[in-house]
Amino acid sequence: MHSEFVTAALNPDQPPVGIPDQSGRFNVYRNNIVVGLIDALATGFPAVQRIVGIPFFRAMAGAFVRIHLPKSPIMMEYGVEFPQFLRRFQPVAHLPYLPDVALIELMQRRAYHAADAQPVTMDQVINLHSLKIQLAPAVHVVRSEYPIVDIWRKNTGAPDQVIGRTAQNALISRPQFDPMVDPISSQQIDMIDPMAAGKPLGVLMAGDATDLPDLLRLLISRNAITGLSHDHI
Amino acid sequence: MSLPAAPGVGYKPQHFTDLMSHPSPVRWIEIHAENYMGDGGRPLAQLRALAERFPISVHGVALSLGAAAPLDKDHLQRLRKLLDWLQPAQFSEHLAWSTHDDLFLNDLLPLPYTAQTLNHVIDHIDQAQEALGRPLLMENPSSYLSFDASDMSEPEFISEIARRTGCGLLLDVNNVFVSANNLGFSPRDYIDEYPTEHVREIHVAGHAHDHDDAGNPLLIDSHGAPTSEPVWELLDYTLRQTGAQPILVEWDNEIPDWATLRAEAVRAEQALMIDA
Repeated sequence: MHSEFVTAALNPDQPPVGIPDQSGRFNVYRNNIVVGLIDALATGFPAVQRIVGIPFFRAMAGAFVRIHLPKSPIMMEYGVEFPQFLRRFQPVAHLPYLPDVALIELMQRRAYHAADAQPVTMDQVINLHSLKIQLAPAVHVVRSEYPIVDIWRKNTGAPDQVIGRTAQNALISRPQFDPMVDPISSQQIDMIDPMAAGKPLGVLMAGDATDLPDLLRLLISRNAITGLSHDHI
Repeated sequence: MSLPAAPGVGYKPQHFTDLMSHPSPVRWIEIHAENYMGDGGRPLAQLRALAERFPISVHGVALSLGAAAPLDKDHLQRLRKLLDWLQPAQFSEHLAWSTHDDLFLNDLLPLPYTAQTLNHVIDHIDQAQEALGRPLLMENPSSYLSFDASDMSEPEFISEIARRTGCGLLLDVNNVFVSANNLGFSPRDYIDEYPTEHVREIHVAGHAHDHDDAGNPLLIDSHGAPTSEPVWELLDYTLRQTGAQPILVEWDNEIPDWATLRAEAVRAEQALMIDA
């Protein structure tokens, strides 16, 4: 019974077999499943929806839903494949930055539900060379070739945001409960991965590290550093 | 802390401040378990604050008690973790299924009522109660179609489940009203046949009006409107049989402002004063 029901529910052209379709009432279930998932994507990706418009977004989300049904009952995790889907979805090929906007929204949602952690303050930052930095569970980055933070801001409640001409990377953090999105330089984004991997700052300072102090200040102001230790080798 | 025989509301984050400052007549809240399975942040911080102030009923929507496959052990573990941390007054789930193979369908899907599905659901409830270390309440579904294969009535099916698993029941009177309208039976007859002695919680909610392809009226369990007058009347009828119960106002879509939701809770409080 379950298999036949699911097959018919996910394929509107296929009449339910062994399941009564009393005057089209089976469509209530078809509709509930697909519309519920489209609604979940609309909630999770508001800037993408704003950029493409609601009717287009809902049609596109419907195409995504048919390929990527949830595997987990935790709906806060639904849509992980959406940015990748947008990269290959031909009708939005003229909006090459759209997948990066979706990625910011996905990371923002992860940051929202990330574990709580106790931040450190600037005066605890000493002996930079041997210092190892622990980043908060909410910290995520998105690399982009587009002014992605400006585009994201303009489509999430700041319509007057001017969109610059240079590429931006995004740092996502959560000072308390609300995720923040800040632009960071390409030198800075290259420092985040080694930092997260537990490399002491001396390693990061081997090359050009002019942007490091600003990055540390930004991370601390966003409660994004939650532990400091020293490498004693 | 057990749930008081008083109005409760389905918790929505936009009502946090109102609930914490002037909740009356609301005396308990219900949360959807799956929305609180993240690692931290605002959802869990708000829940921690609410739990200090209100008895909480945890309502699961994804355990899929009616699924063909065995229950999801990972999901049972996540539920157990939440319940052990929160220590809610009670935990409830649905007479429905929402998973198949490795897919989660995000809707409460219907079952035929047969000896075979009965045994199946009973096994799953036994397993869930064992894994969660507490009895659960099972909620009756809202239905849009009936299966030819069914050879038991829904109240009969639910009675057997309650008798053989020892689970309690969550009686959703809006679901009864919606199903009665859609399948053509009397909602009062349903309540008369229902094992009301096992009821530990009641739900009321709003529904939407639609039509099927033959032009017959079809009610949709939308949770996006005030509870309708005939459902309040059915609540009065039900309370005369169950005695006073915790009554939850469910409103999950087109979420109203606090004053509107509170007015629904006031109406539920009046039903308790008159009938119980």
